Amino acid sequence: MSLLEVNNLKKVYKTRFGGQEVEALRNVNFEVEEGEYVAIMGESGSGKTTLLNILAALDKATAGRVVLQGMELSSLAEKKVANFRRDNLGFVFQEFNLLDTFSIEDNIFLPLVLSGKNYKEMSEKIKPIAARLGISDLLKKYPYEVSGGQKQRAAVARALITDPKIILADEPTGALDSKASDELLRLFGEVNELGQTILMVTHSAKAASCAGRVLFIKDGEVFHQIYRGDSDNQRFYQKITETLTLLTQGGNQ
Amino acid sequence: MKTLFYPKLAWDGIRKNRRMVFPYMLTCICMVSMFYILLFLGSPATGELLPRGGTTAMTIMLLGSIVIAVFSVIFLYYTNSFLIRRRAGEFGLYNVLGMGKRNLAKIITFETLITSGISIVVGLLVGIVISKLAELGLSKMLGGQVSYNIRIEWPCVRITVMFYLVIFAVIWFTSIIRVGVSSAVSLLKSEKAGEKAPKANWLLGLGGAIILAIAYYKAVTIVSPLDAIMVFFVAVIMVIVATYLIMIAGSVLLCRILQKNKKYYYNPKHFVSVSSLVYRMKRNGAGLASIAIIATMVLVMISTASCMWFGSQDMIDERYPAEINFTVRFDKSDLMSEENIAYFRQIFEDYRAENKATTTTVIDLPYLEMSGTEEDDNTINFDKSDVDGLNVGALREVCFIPLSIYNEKTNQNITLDDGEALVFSTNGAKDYDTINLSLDGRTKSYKCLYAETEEMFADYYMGNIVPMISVIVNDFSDTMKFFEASEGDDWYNMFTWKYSFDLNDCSMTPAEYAKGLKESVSKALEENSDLSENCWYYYEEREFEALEYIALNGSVFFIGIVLSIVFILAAVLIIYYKQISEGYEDASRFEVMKKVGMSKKEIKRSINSQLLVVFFIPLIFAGLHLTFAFPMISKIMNLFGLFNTGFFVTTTVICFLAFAVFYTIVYKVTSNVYYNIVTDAK
Repeated sequence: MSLLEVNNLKKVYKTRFGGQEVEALRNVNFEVEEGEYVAIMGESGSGKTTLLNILAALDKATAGRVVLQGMELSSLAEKKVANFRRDNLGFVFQEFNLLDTFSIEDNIFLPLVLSGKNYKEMSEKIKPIAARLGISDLLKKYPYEVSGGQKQRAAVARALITDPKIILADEPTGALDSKASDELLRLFGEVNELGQTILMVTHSAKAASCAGRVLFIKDGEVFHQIYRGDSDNQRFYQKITETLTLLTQGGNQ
Repeated sequence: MKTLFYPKLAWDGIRKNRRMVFPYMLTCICMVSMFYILLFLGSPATGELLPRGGTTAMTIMLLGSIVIAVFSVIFLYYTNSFLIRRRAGEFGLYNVLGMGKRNLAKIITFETLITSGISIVVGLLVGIVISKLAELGLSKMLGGQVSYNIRIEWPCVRITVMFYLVIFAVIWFTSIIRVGVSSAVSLLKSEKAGEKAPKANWLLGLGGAIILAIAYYKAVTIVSPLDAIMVFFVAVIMVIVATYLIMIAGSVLLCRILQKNKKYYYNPKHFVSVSSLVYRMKRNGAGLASIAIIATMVLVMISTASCMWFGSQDMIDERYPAEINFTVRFDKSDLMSEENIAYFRQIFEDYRAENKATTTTVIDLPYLEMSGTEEDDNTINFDKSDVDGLNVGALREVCFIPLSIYNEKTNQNITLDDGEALVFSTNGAKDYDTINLSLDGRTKSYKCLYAETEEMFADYYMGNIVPMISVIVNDFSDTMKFFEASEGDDWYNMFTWKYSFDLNDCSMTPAEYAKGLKESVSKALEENSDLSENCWYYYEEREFEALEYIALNGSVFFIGIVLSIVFILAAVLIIYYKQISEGYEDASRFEVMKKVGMSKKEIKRSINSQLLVVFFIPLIFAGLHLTFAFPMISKIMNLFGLFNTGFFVTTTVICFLAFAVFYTIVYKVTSNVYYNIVTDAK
């Protein structure tokens, strides 16, 4: 059984006053195995973010199923959704989404505190993660006092601290300069190597080339997917750009 | 078309920001109308409708309008700067799109024209309509005439228009300057300027708490009403300063201390609330302090005014124990003899018989009243030379009363040895074991005994703000002689005989009776030159004097209500703006929390607990301030002749409860606005 299964997922948005319907996702099918590192690519408006929101249980699908480790998301009661999200999913966003009212440390603690963990347990947990992400010295600082790359690493730490089944990353390098991007992608690779499943939505072929598999979405459907196989990042990057060119030229599978 | 471009843009700006601009305009309208109403009530034409005391009422109304004027300037200025700050982004956008500062100034000008035009015109219309009702209400309260035709006081209209035009011009000018000096980018960004984590400031936080403690201590330990008035102002200022310090620094300090306690802080219930509160309090500390101060002010004002108005009759009865109160003052001690007093009594008797009236004597009392300064060693010094450079706090009023009268009055049979006296200290004078009374180097000492009954003296210290000591002696005429001032200073002597009575069965009104009585006294004295040259006499007729009290208390009550409305409105507006601006800031924060795994319910609970704290802190402070101000207020009420503390407590509690209910309603309404913003800003 796969860790994450997405079957016939469909999402239709209605404009506010009825009338027009917009089909954001038409028929999405894919699976993610445990320990996989999957990138989802697609142009703006292709439905990437909608897909991620549904996977994160922030939005509800019009039709189809999302199953995470045998648990169907749409069957979750409204009350349990937040708990589920907290315990099973880790998020990394383009805009970091750190709360400026908390220190870096408290930002990382947030999901644990919400689950009712005590301080001792939390401080034990944060040490190895902060060390691995190189933010041990920044824990007492506030988000506005550190750089974008450091903020994003803090966000990764916040995602990791709950030992999530899967990390959902939405354009994690989108707001970073190239050096910070490289650093973050290296960290993602490391984390994945340790067995963490990652699902990353991205624009950047470079970011995608670090993943083990890339899914391409176009017009609300999974259009194509390629595996890294034995190729190194360089070779995989080439494969991705070729596919992207094909995609924009409107070729068929 | 082109000429209408800017007005249109301005109108659009107002419409788009109606959530903020409309309440602002509503406040302007309210201030304009209240200002006009008070001016209208203070105008001579209204005064003519009022009975005796109309002038007092008018003066109070005009004073009230000055308060509103000052408040308008501060408050409208403050509100407008808030509006401009919130709209900086919009102006920045126009600027980026190619509008120069000059064009922005044009938009602002048109906006100001529109808002001020509407405010003044509508405010005046509302004012004119309500002024009629206010006039009727005031006239009814004070027992004046009622006229039903609508009247417009053009001079008042003119003053109102001119005054508010000036205010709006100042506001307009500062807006232009503010937008003028900032660059497009800074305008765009000003709304999002990053905020540093507030640091806990021990010095200010603790300082605030200490100042508050001192002010409270001063307020509670106050004894004399005279001190009350002086201490009151000092204490008020200290409380205001302390409230600001505590709200701004102390609250942050408290949150920081809570954060240090890991067990408390890292609890799902407190984690988000406490850390957000730090920022909220830093940003809103000043606003919350202002609300607390305004609330306290309103509560003190309305409860004092209510006490005065509903206690008017007590006040009058206290001050004028009988319908007709006659006072005779003798310049020399030997003139206040049994014979002379009997002589006066006879005149009253004759007059009564002549008019076939019957009367009930309420007071018939000879006494000597002296004022001096309190010195060390239980000494009160009556030397007149000390009047210059006088220490007001040490002023004491001493009233000597014959023992015989006291015994008769209280149905007792107390005897005193030589050098003994019954002593009653009131109005904050201390209790003595022995008292030394000295004048021009001569000193008379009494060993003090204390008795139970005090009531009979209320009417003397009434209306007197100085601490008062009643000394009841058995050698009254010797005492008078002893304290008689030397030749040339006789006018200091207050050898007084007081005779008060109610008039029964008489065809004359008390006023007519008293007037006739005074005339017959002066006629009788024409034949007694020794007395007529060395005494003077006057009467106070209760019904007539009462009108003055009613006018004073009624207009104080009236103005208390008007000013309370204005101040409460201001507080509501501050709260409302606070909620709006926080709503916009918090919307993005809650979006993040949702993504990180907080459920809607948890978010709502966290918002609720923060709002509750932020909202009810001012109310709690107001209640606390009011409680500690209470001893002072009741002392000051004593000065007005009100001694019924239970009545003050009831009135104050009712006022507080009414205010709390109103405040809660405002909380409900404004937090709905907040929820709406937080939820639709997605």
